Amino acid sequence: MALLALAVLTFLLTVSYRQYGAELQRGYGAVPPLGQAMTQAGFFCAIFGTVLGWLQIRAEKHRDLWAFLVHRPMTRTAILVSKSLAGLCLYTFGAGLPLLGFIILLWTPGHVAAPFEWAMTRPLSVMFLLGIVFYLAGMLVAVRQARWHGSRGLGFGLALVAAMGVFVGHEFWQTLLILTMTGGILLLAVWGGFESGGNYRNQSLPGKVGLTLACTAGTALLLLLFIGLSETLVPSSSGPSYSEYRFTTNGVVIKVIHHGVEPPKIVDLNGKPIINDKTGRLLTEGDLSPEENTPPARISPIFSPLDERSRPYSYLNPYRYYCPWQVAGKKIWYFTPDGSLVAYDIVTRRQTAILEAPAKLHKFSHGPGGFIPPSHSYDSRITAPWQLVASTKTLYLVDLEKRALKPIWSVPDDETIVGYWGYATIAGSLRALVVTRTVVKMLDLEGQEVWSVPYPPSFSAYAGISCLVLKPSGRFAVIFYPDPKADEGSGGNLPSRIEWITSGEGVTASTDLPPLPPAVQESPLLSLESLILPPALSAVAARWKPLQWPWNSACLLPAGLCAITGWWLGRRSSFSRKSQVGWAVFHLLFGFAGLLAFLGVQEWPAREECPGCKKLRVVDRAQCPHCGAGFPPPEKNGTEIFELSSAN
Amino acid sequence: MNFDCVINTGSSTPIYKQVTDQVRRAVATGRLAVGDQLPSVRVFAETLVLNPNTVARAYADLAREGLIESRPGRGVFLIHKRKVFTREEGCRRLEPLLEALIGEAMALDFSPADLQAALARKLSQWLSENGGRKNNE
Amino acid sequence: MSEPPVIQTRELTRYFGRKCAVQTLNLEVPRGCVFAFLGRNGSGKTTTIRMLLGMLAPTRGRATVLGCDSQALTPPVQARIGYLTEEHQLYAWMSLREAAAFQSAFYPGWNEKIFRGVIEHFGPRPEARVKDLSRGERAGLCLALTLAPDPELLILDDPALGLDPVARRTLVESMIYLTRRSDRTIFFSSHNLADVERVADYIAVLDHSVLRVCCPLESFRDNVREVRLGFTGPPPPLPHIPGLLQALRLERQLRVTCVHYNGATEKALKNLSPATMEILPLGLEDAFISYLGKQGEKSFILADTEVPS
Repeated sequence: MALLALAVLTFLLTVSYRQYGAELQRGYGAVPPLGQAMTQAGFFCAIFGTVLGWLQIRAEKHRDLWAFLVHRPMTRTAILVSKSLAGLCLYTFGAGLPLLGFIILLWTPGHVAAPFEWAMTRPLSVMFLLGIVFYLAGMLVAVRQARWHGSRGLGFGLALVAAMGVFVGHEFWQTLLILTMTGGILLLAVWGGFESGGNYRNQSLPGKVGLTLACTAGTALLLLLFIGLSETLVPSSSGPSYSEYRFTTNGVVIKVIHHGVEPPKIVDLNGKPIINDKTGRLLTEGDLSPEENTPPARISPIFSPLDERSRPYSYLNPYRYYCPWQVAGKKIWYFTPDGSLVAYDIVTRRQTAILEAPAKLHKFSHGPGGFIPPSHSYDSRITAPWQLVASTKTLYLVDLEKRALKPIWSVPDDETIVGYWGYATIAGSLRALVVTRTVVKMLDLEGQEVWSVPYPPSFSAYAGISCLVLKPSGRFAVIFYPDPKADEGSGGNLPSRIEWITSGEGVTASTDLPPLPPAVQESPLLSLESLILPPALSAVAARWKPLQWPWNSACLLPAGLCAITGWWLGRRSSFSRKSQVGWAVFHLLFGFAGLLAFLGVQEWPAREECPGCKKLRVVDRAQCPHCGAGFPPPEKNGTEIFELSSAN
Repeated sequence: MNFDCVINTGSSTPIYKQVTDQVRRAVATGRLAVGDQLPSVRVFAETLVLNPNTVARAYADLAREGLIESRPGRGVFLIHKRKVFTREEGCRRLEPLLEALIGEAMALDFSPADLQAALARKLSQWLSENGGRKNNE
Repeated sequence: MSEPPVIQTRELTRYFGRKCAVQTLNLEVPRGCVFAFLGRNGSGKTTTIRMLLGMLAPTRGRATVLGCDSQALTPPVQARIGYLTEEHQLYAWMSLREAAAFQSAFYPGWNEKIFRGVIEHFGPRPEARVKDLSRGERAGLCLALTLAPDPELLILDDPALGLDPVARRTLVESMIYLTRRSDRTIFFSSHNLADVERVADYIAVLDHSVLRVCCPLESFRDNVREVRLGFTGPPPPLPHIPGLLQALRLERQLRVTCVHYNGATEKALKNLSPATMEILPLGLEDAFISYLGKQGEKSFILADTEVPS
């Protein structure tokens, strides 16, 4: 079976490689070869891992064959370890080899028209490790002897959580942490299940904990699915309410207010609705042009494009690792981490040219010299041959065909360029917008300043700067956004600043935009969601979707109910005090999902009437928990024959 | 030592009793003579596919009757049969066999005279074959 | 010579859901004997054996095997126990040689001579794969794999299930061969009473999850008697008899099977004034069937107007 997996994955990877080649030929520009391969590899590893793990345990599905395996002078842990090692070897063979081959393919020159960084292998290695988590989940599904087949699959939920975590996690180490945690829990659950033959009651405590947590993840996912389904079925009458600023091409600031699913209202800064001059009616969203309908693009002064770790992309995004600049002729130009420009030929897929900045710099340092990528993609209206490129200190014009570099402007010694982009005026001439840490400038192709706006002194640091080109020509608006940390510190009250500039005249107007209230969710179903979600999850979810009081604490009430239910059930079955307390804490943390997992995982002992006190009592204690009476021997019917002394 | 038994499982006679009965019958019919060696418990058990304890019990019963004797280091031998049965006991043991014989003969339409004639004929034949031995006891 | 028993259970109980499969079993198996564990299908024999080997956890009570708690059998103790399951399950893809190599790698006391000896009896080809073996050959292979480590205690769960008579005979011969050493114990369950009669020292009988018999083989047979009472007319109603198993009422006869036939029983039966009274011993199989069959009275009297067709 591992051979089959090997074949399938190799096929998949080959297909994605060919696709890359085809897209490259079509001239789509800098296509990352990893993109599709990654998702395919991810799915494949997950499926392969699950099936492998499941089959490994299922091979001894017959009770007597399992007895054959297990009844030998070896501890069950040792048997499990050797099985897992064999399985992991198969997995590495089936999934690891093709991936390794693919990586080597990418690494050798001549296959991919892009520079290669070893850090690019991180997404693939994450997929490989994810497959191992699914392998453990597959084993868990097969190991459990549960009465309803549905509850067998609960353990799989944790693997799905791991998969989600992989895609959600921003940094590599975060993903590793998630994978380790989920893998660890699943490992404990599989070990416990294997030790006890799939039952719950006679596992050791770590096994029980692992299994319960894994099943809780499963039930939580089911709950979320249920909630999601019900949300689609129930027409939601309200969505989030929020407002945003938009800018017309004349430079007028308008406020767009969204209230649930009603059509948005457009008002001016004083709150009065705006009338469309042409129609005489209220301005609607449809009246705005596409440029007006999109929020303005930002440069972030904190953004240091050379340091791979500070790029705002998740580690899964290929654009984190390399920075394509543009396609010129049959070549694609990239920025390398050490500040050079390299060109890769599309046809031969090899590096054909390298353009170094006058003073090259090392990775991870912020020294002067190396090239930095522009803050936004290139305006295609700009005519060749001159392109705009900057280092941290100087702005250059570069002719890619002739490899000529012409500096046009430099910053003073104590400043650095943090962002720039070029755009074309209506007349077709190139203008460069340069942002340093203290000033925003617009320059023409000679390096002459067209206008310059210093940062307003009222803010200490800015999170973003946007520049808008307005009509009629020669008018611009620069917007300064406050730093989110400082904003939080002052309670979200920092305004954004706009400065309107006319070339030739400098700053003509400026105003402070008051901050907008945060988005408010009013969906009643969402509130219902918060009721059902376990408190542990709600605490985590509150970081992304904070809810107002009392909803954010409302989940404690159902959790309390669950704890009471669990307590009552435990009393019925005479749980020990320690386990009662443990379960109560668990229910408080995990609420409804935890209760479902509790029901799915527990094996309830039968209850019979006690001859001593006539109450129902569990049959797994030697003495009645109520009155202490033991279990009587079975009734004799006069036909017993007992004698053990041999007649020898 | 070619003595062999036929064991019937499922019959109402216990197996050890089948063994003792067959040994006794063999002695009586002359298949086994005094001084013959019987197989050891272990060998006999494995030949008959029986639990050795069963064979051991049969041998113990036969030894108690005085029919066999175990000589250490040598084996189990048939010995001189001592009279352990009283006359009454012997009559009691013979009774069911006489019943069976007479009943069968009647069913086969033998007259009492025919039966007696057949019996006399068989007895003289048996005595001529085994008479020497019987006289030696 | 009071050696501890090789198997000892104390209040061993197992519930499956609400149903009780084994009820407060108290059993002791002495060392060096052949112990047959009998009962009808579904009476709890396999469940008990699984609990003894740690495959299943008891609901209540405990079991001790070779001095070790059955739920915590350590590898050294496991090496001394041989376990043969009723389905004779092995990995289908293994060949005979591979199976032998696989098993022998785990047991330090593996005896190749025993393995060869048992295998030759059953006759499978050494290169054959397990999935190509017949039922009897597979049973032989399993038996050889179980006996080769020379275990002190052999636990067999219905080993003769599905075997042809020749294979069954070979199985019994192997069991007797094992008794050559006086410290070897065999604990087996079976439905084949002919083999049990040949080979067992003690028997225990489980009746609907309750242990009702645990005694030497001959004691069981001696204790179950059939009494035939002949009457001149229809037999009178039967009074209560302690230890009654079955009573069959025929036109002029009353056949009573009972346990512990003693003076009181004799008196009660004589009170019915039968014309004839015979006491018959039973064969083991008949005794067993009477013991475990449906207890009570059965009647086979045809009324005069009924005509058998």
